[in-house]
Amino acid sequence: MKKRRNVVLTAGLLASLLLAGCGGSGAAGTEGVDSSVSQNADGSKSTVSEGGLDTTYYIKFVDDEPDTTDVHCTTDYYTVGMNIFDRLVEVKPNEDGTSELVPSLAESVAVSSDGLTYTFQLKEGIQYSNGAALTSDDVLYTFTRLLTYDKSKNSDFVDQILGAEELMEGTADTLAGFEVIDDYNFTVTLKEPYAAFLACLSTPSVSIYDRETTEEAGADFGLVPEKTVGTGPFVFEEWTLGSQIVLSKNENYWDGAPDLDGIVIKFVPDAETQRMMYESGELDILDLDNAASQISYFLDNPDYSEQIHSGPRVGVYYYSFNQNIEPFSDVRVRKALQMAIDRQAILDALYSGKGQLENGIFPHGLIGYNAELPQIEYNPEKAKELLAEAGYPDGFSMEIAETTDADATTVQRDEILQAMLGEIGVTVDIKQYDSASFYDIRATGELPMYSSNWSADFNDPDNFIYTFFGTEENSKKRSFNYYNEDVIARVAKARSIVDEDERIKEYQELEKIAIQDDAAWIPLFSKEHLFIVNPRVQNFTVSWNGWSGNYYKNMSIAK
Amino acid sequence: MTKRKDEKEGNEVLKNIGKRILVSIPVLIGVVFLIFVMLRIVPGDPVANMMKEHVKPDVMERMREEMGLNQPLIVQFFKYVAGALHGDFGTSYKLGRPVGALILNAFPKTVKLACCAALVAWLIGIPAGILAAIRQNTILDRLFMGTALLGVSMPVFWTALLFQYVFSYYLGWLPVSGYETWAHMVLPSIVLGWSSAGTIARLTRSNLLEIMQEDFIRTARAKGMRESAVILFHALKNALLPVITMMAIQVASLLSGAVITESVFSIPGVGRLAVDAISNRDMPLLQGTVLFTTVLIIIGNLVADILYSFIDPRIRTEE
Repeated sequence: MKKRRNVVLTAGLLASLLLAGCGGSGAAGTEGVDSSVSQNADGSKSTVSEGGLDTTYYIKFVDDEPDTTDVHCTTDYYTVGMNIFDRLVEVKPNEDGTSELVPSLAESVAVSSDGLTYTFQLKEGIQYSNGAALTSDDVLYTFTRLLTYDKSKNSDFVDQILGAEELMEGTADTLAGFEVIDDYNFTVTLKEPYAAFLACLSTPSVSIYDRETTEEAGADFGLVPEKTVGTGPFVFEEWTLGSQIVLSKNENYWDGAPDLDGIVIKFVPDAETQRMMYESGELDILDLDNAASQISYFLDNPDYSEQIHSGPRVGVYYYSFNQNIEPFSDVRVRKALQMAIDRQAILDALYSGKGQLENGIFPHGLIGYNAELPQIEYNPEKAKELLAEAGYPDGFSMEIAETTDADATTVQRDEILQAMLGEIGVTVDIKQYDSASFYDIRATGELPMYSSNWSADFNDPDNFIYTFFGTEENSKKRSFNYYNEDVIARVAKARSIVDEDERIKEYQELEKIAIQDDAAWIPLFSKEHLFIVNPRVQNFTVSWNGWSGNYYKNMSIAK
Repeated sequence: MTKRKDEKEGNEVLKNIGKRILVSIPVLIGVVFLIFVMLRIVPGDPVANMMKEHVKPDVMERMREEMGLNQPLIVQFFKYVAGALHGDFGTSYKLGRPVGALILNAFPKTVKLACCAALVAWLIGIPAGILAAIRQNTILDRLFMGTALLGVSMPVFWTALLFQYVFSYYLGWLPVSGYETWAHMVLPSIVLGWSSAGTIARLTRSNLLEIMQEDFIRTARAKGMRESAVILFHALKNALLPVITMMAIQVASLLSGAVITESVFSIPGVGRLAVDAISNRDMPLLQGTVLFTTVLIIIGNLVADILYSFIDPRIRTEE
């Protein structure tokens, strides 16, 4: 018996030695760029790839590794796409926290008075980094691909176009609402007015691709750097799986080459490690969204006060109510819970107060944000009264669902909430699900209360309220089960109001009914997106919405 | 031993290998089937997980269709097996790349880490154990055993952070994370190797002390052999057999992926790939990694059995 065990164990040893031999040689063969850190004479560190790429003047930072850089096929990773592709129009952040749309690949856009037809003129002479010319046909190709490519996740940004549904269902071969006039002129006709259409075209997901290059690349587009070609200020240089992505400047960029040599995006999951990399000069920018546990370390250390940069995150953190679960079907209970939470205390305790309270669904910085909305007060006494009125004088038990991969502050937030609700007699059980189960259950409409946040894809209230309360299905798929049919119908209809003032007014009214009168969710706050930036980086700017990937074209490094 | 007998035994060995390979086929199919079924019993939807916040009901339905998730389970299973037989292990749901390529890309990094860590463990653990045994109950012994105890007791994630702090951040000698150069491998190897070294040192010490009491050691000493020769040629040879067994266990566990070390130091090895695959319900990728590990173990056992039969004659003559 003992001998037999020895056989197996020795087997493990021998096999591993054998495999180690094979693996070792494989490592040398398959590794991409081998970079090493060297110390310069002046003490600064520079990274030099063995492949000959000198990354001294590359901005280095950490981000999650994307599934793909093909922005048509992702809903949460845009950093690479923002910088290697361009859009027809771009969002320009203003100093005061607002933002505006400015033409990019488009020279001009004209909208007909009925809000149905958009006439575009492209800038002439723009080339992709492989030399191909940008034409109207590429825009048609891009829209068609968003609607019909089987891996596309973003058809909803262009499905307002006339004939989009027919194209998606396969009853039409071409996009009826798109008319190519010549290489640089085209018109787009919508099936009904949709005021947010131009804003939709500014999202990273509607980046314009070259027809020929993209078709030729097939499934490799977005995965293989040299096949992932755009018109943007940077070129996709390298993707070493599990390690890093490198973008280099596009010398021939139509709007002038960037000053920066490029950017290096490293994949480092551990927050503590990221901090040490920043402090030892291996990173130029530390995104505290990826390293939330390190926030207080930097904020409390006066040495870093000059290196902290921030931009408002146009997004709202909230707790959901599932109205299918008792006693949340009762509006008094929902209102009681809204009032039982000291939101400012949470913001101060967990995020050093870096953010603003929100009382609705449209956060600060979004078009349609309503500063007049009444403040949801923190009043545990009144909350208790409401509970008693609803028949729960002694409170009740409830569950909060959370994903296991949520960051530490999210769980702490739940625990604070648990304590605060305990004050009014509500017993909270925090239950963690792995994310695949969490989203699976949520899509069936059966998830109990959970916390999440929604940040703007494009600058329009439609992006918020339609997403949650635009259709009964949208509300169910997020486990809200909100049943105010009047609101749902009006949200859907508001999309097509042509008069801008009237439209915004309608949205603000709907916001008040859904969030304050019906108390369909607990709005918490919007947060500042904090970065720690090495002083050698100049012109650091946070993207307008604070999340969809920064734009590096105008940044530089002191030489 | 005559030449004829050798030939006969050679044939026996070949026959044995053939038998073992045949036996492994149902094992492989069984493993694939088990993991396939288990993954589908646990709750969780890969498509919902991919879309996360951005739930778009019609897009989700279309993707589920495209990924073949709407087909009956048994159809999905046979499609997978048929593909695997042709060397096609499917495409990762999450990463959109062929599973085979992803694993082959990750494995060398795991091997590199496992080898370096094992080397550290042996080069430190064995000499430390021997010295501690020879100098039993001296300061040296206490120092070594204390350090060994620390190595065994401290959780790897903590040692990792401590080392990063001291050697990368404070002293600035080594890079904080990554795997690209040998300098990058130093810290993770020491961190991972230390706990193994501790175990090995303690085991070496106790075995050596035990053996030193045996009769044949007394005989060797009585013959007038020098003490160093007694230890090196007589005691150590016997004391190290269980240590080698222990080393084997450790290497096997290292090779299946040192998940924590891999993630603290950002080493994209097999362990990290498998863990990501589980949390994303990335079935093709997880099936691929499990299959890969199974094949490794089967091959390992086979090779070991054969080699062992050459090393230990008792095994050969038994049947």
